[in-house]
Amino acid sequence: METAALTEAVYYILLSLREPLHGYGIMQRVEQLSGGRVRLAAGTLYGALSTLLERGWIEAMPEPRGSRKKEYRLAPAGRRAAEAELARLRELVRNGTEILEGDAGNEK
Amino acid sequence: MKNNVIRNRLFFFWNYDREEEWLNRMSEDGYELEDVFLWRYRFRRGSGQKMRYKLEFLSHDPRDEKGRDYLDFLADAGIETVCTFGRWAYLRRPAGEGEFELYSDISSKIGYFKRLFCFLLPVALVNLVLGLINILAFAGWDNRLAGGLCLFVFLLFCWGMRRTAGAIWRLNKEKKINE
Repeated sequence: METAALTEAVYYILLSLREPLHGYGIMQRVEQLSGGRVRLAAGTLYGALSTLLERGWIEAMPEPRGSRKKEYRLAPAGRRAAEAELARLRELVRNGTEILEGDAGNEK
Repeated sequence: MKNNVIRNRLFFFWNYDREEEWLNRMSEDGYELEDVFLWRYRFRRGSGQKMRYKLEFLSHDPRDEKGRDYLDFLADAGIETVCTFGRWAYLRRPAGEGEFELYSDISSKIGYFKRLFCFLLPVALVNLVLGLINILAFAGWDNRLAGGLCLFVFLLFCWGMRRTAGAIWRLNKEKKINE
């Protein structure tokens, strides 16, 4: 299992693929999930999807005949990676809250 | 106002951002790009909808399956491929759809500039070798002229590599703090 931090783009792509989506659908879903803050550009998304496919974190769905739109879905390894990232983020929030809010309490 | 306009313009690979600004200005003036061949740009009078242009040095030949797959992906995201010339793709999107960027994170931008640098480097080196061989190994004036031209191209590409390497350096510095 990877222990390094995921990029924000990869983390949100993994979250967005709980249901199968094609490229543009992922861009819209990520923007929606982040409240409009994270807007993935097409080149960045394409590169990230290629890497995630190679790693087996996502899977390409069989394409309907005549369609060139590829759909992707989360693979079990991708779900584990997103869960590990969530645990890492919780640790960051816990430590940040304890230290920074503790400091704020002492200053009062 | 003419419907078709031809413009001749030299495009230096490392100045692609200036090229984009020029194409955007042409769109502001009502002309949309139709085709590019070497230094010859063909424009057609547009429908009135302003467009924003981006040039991209593709990682795969646009005639290959992987190159086509990428351009299809862009089309799905509402980005039109106007034309390709070699590995360069001329892309556009309506200006009303907001800021037009192909890469939204630092790592992807660094990867893109590295791809461009890796294209410039061998071309520069080939011209350096050809220039030196022509000047040092042959005595004829025509060889010296050809050698001089090759060395000029080498220096031009060195300038381009410097600009590209500068962009990679700045982004790497930024990456130490931000994603």
